Amino acid sequence: MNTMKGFYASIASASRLQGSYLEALSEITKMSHKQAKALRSDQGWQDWSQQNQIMETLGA
Amino acid sequence: MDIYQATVDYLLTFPIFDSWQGLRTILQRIASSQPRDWRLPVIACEAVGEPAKKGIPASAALASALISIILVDDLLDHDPHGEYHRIGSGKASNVALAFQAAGIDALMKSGASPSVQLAALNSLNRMMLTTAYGQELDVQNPVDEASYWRVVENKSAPFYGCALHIGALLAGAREDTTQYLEQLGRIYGEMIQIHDDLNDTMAIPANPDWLQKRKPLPILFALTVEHPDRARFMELYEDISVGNALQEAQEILIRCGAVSYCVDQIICRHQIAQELLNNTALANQEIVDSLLGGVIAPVWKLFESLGLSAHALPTLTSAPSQER
Repeated sequence: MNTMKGFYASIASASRLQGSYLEALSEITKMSHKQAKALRSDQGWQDWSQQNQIMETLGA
Repeated sequence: MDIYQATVDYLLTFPIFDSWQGLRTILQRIASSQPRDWRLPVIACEAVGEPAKKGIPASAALASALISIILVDDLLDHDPHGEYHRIGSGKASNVALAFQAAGIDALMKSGASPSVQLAALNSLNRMMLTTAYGQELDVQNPVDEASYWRVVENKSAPFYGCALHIGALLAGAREDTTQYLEQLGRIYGEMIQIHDDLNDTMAIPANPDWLQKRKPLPILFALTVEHPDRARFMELYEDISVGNALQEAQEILIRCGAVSYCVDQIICRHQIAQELLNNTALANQEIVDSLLGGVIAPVWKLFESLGLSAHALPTLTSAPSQER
């Protein structure tokens, strides 16, 4: 798997690789903050915060 | 079958839950939120072709272990929602010990053969020990990439590996199958941890991870990689409560590739898990396929929302069809 620095170098040059997987990951860097917020609530990331769910239940 | 009710019913047959009202209350309160992890041992049981009810003692063991881990995790992280705020640190620690022991009891009373019980107890105990070590590493706040993955390997992955392992053991699965499911569970746990880090980092208002200067994966990436906004990110990270600092820092996380990196890490693990799944004969492969599909679904949704189709992802052409 990619190291952080290796990954960064890869997506920085991804514009030369049209249609590639790396280019798709590079597209994520252009996402707006609003889209990122929607990503949490609408795309299901929040669902996966299992531990938060349990902590809130414990602390209810 | 209501797995949550069955798990609670199983544990409530233990006399300690009659004597100790507080223990019973916590168990029932958590069961009412239907934590999805409780289902994992039953999923493993069904994956090898056995009925769900065979996995209930394993679900009870896992549920008890999870409550114990969370109670301690809250204390270590000074979590503002922690149960210890309500009952005090000493009592919370004692309740955690009780649930840990209840987990062992759940396996002892499973009715499985002595050799299966011993293997399951060994798995549970190994997981608790490794998780405790992982918590210790996590408290030290990983300073680099290698130490971050060491925390994940010890703190997050063992729990999920054990969840599938003990479920398969109580189902009477062959040793190679139980080991395979444990391996799959560990990969699944790593994916869950990355999801959790992404979710916490992008939370508004600032999650305690920001406020306590912790280093979940996206933040570690932005602090480590030499991107143009790194110096600014470091300034924001030092005082995230000021003005618009959180939004600016989160925008940098997106721009510098930290979110992309997390997505890549999830996808890589999904592919490894999928390969494992394809190379192992299970009586009910679909149920595990569905488990993996659920954890990768937000990634495919993200790609869809950005207008990226599966055809744009040559290495992943078959993956979106696995979405559930």
